[in-house]
Amino acid sequence: MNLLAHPMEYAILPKVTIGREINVVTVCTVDHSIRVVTKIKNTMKKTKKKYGRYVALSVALSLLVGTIGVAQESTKLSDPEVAHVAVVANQIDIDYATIATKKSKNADILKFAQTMANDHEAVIKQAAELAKKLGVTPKDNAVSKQLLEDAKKKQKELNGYSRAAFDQAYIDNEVAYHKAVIGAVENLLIPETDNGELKALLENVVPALKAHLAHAEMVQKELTSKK
Amino acid sequence: MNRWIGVFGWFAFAVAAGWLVGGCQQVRHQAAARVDVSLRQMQFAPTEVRVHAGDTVVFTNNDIVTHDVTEETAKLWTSGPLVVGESFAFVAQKDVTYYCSIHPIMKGKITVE
Repeated sequence: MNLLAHPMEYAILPKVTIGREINVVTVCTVDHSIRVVTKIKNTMKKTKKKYGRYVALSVALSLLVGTIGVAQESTKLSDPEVAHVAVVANQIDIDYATIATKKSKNADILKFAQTMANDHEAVIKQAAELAKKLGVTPKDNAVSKQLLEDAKKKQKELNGYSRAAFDQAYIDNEVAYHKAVIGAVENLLIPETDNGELKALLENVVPALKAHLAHAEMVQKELTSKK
Repeated sequence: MNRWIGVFGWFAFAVAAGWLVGGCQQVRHQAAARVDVSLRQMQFAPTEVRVHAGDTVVFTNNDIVTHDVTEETAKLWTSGPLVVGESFAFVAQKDVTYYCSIHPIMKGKITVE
């Protein structure tokens, strides 16, 4: 059975097995979104399942900022590495917001960007406080490096838009970015995390990310209706 | 004799206790009440509260980011930014719908009975 609607999609982590034959499969699509489909499974073996989980992590996170690359790393992230990925993912959206405050004149965009900057800064602060409490230093890793590298490309792209085209490009990216981050946090980072407090922080961030997504979609709809 | 005194004593105690409890309840109904609404996980919890005119609704930010509480229809009043742990008290006189102007998907309602 082919689960992929497009050849560039990656089927990742047959992670949750329901009963003996049905797997829940997460699929990263070309437009950053992550969709979940169920698959009737007869032949997949446990070893394949385990391998797929680790490959999936780097594939899905590389998709966060638009790069569809072949996963090269298949190493499980440690908690300090998960913390670093979380901090980097928040910082990237703050950087997008900084570009928006410089380029946009639209009140809704500016307000949304300010909320993103404030909220993601608050999350980073809490992650830093937790890391200090636990006595761990967020650790640079291949996934966070890839995120930063891809974000630089996206920032360059956003900076290149004319003022007229920027608002739409920015809010479209915010919708796609938050969808991808929610999928990655829920399906990858939280399950990868061992420490209970770090896991709880990630779980607490999810409602904020979902609210940001709904807010971004609201602004996106407003922009579209005014055209 | 002592037995009757004991029975009478217990009866008097029960009457007095009943009067006290009843009296307190009556006072509680008459006094303005406090109703708490928690801002957590990007929601007002509970989303809707039913109060009497003059009751005080206390909003407390128990979330991980700053919120506010703002009257929705005409922006007649606002709490201003509530940082984590901060509260805002509002005396309800009539029905009102409110939202968080920072995160507009957060909405709530006070119904005055």
